[in-house]
Amino acid sequence: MLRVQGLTRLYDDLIAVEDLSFTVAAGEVLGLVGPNGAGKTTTLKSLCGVIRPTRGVIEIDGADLEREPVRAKRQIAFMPDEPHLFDYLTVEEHLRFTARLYGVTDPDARIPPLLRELELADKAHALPGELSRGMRQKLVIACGLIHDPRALIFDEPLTGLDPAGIRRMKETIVERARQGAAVLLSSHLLHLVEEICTRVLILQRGRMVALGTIPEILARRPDLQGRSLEDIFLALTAG
Amino acid sequence: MIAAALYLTRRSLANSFRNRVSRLRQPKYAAAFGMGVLYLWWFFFRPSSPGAAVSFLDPDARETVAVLLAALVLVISWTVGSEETPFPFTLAETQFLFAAPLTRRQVLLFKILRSQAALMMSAALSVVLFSRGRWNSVTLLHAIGLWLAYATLNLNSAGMGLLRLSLSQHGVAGARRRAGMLVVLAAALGAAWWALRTDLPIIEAAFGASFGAGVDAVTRALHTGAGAVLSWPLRAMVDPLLARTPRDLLAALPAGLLMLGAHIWWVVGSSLAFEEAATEAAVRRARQIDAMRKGRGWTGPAKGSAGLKSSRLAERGSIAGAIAWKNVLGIRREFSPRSLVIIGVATVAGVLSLHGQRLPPAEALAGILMFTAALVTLLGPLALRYDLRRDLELLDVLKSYPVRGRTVVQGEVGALLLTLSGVAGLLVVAAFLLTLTDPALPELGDRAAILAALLAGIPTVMVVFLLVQNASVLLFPAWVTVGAQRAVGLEATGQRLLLTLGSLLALVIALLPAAVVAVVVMWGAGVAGVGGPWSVTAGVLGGAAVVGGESWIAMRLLGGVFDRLDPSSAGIP
Repeated sequence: MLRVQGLTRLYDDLIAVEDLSFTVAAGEVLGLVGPNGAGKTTTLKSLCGVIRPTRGVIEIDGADLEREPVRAKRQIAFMPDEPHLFDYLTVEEHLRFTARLYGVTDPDARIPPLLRELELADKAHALPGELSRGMRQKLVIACGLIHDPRALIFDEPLTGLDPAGIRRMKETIVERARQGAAVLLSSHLLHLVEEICTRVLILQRGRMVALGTIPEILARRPDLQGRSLEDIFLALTAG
Repeated sequence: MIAAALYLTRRSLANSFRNRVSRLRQPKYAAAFGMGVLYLWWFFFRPSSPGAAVSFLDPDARETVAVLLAALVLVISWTVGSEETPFPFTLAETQFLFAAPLTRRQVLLFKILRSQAALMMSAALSVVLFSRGRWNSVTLLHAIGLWLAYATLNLNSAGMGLLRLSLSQHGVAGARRRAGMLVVLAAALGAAWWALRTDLPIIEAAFGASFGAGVDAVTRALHTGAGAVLSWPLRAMVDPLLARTPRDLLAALPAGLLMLGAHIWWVVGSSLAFEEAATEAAVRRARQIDAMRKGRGWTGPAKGSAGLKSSRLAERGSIAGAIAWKNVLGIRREFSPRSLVIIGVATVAGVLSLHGQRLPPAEALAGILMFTAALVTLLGPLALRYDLRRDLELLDVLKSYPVRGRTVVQGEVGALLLTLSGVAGLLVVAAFLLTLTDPALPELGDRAAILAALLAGIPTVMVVFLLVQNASVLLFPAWVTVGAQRAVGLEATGQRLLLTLGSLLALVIALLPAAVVAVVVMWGAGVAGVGGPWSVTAGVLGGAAVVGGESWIAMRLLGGVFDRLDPSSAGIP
């Protein structure tokens, strides 16, 4: 579903991401973790076509992002950590606008359940300026889900959400994966990653230091047996 | 408290200065700084004719005009003043000051002191700007007088803000509050009329004779009897500004300072709980500033979205159309009922002033409409920024959409082009219809030809303006700064100048081929026997076709630039 091969991104002399390769299969939730400045956001933004990789290939549902950007982007949804919204469009108008961009032909049928799922139904006619940080985040996610993407990319999806919102968001992510979406989730909340991700990719200074299920990673580091993901993360990214 | 305010002001200025100096290490800022210095030198120190500063009014008449202007500012502030809180606290100020062990009076005093630095700077800049490099002792006097006037007006506005807030806390807000203000204002005007009732016929007769005589009559009324008493606060406020000698200033200062002191007493004496409203306003303002810094500039109506009207986006259609729809919604929402009222009042005032010059009302209105159409055509693309200039900060969102760059550019440019062309076109058509039967104008057929030429020419000029603006955003994203918090300083001025010069050059280059074709077509039409205004129409249509072709190419090229643009490398936050 999502295939990354040799992804490298340079900023002048700075290597943000180097030779990164991985896949996310349909129905899988891959957790992307790493310390600040590890290259997580660069990776995510490269995957959704916001920034161009210096080298490497990104395929989404078989479409090469560089050669067929429109077809590839139709299959993907990117939910950034900072909710960027059009300040002069209401919640519902954001969804209608996004639906049109992604060629959704039945927005009237899709918008109400999506608003209910993300607890935005009573804010349908509110402008972003009137929404809390958490609600803005939910709106971004609603916009990402309206076209039923085959691949979902979340950057810190729980930021700003209340406990009920966190639970609902986790359910939404797991449910989408269960329905066959490939999910890539970046978060500093390691317990979240441990709870809902099927595999974990640990980045440090732009390089992959571990990839696999937690038992697979532990198999390569027997000294960490029985430890939590937090301990594994700290051990692998130390120094 | 005074020491804290002074410390904050001093350190803020010092750090800001150091920050700007360190930026000059970058070539683009250094070049822009050089340009800014050149501009300042040209503006302030170029040779000017010594007689350029002749005043057309005698000192008494100047005072009268200043009093009337001050009265107008106060009336506007009282009647259509903002619903916002009186002092624009920043988020940092609300966080530090409201939580600090300070009384409300101390907080207000702190804010008043802090605002004086900006007011002094504004006064100094205004005086320097208007004196155009003619430095003398009067310049300094004017700066002091202007600061005093600014400070008093600012405090008056703050006091009225507190009053409004107080009314609002007692459930009197919005239309009810405005109605109350209008009643008070009407009462004040009634009192003024009663006080001046014996002078009014004299003033009217004097204006009938000449404008100067009318001003003299008003001056006399403001200095005698009840008029003198009523106008004293205003005269006390403006007299220091009009001082020509140190002695004049010394004579005017006590009254001016008394007015300032009274306002400080009024504002600081308020025990109103403004913290909550001020914090809400600070959050809102911070969002707006953030949006402006990032290239958007507007974060929605302050009072929420109640009553917002939406136009439904069709489920199918072009992507560019969807982007244009989004921007058109933004444009519509920028125009509040208040701005439409102001436009309406300005139009009526314009018609009345032209009517005074013995133009028939229909012709006067047509003239105003044509003038407005010209303003919309030439300034609209610069003033309204609902295109890539506003969406620059959302570049990562736009780039994540399954859309080609050229489609994005088409949609972004298309919204303003359609909206502004539509408005300007309607204005021109309205002016045409208003003068349909006017015998003093050229024949109807010729006017129809001019109308057709204008309807073709307006979008032609506008699309070039818009493409140049959007091209500058895409080609020099790090140089585009917008909104209230736009970059200041010499290098920022220079940057804007360089960008403006570049835009003008691009404009000339884009319009030149169209102009050549237009002339050739006009000539051809003349040869073919199509004379008069219709040949002009043909020429404009020919030119429009050329610009249309250029625009198509430009949008494809800019679309490619958009596709390659990397938000992080381009210096976009």
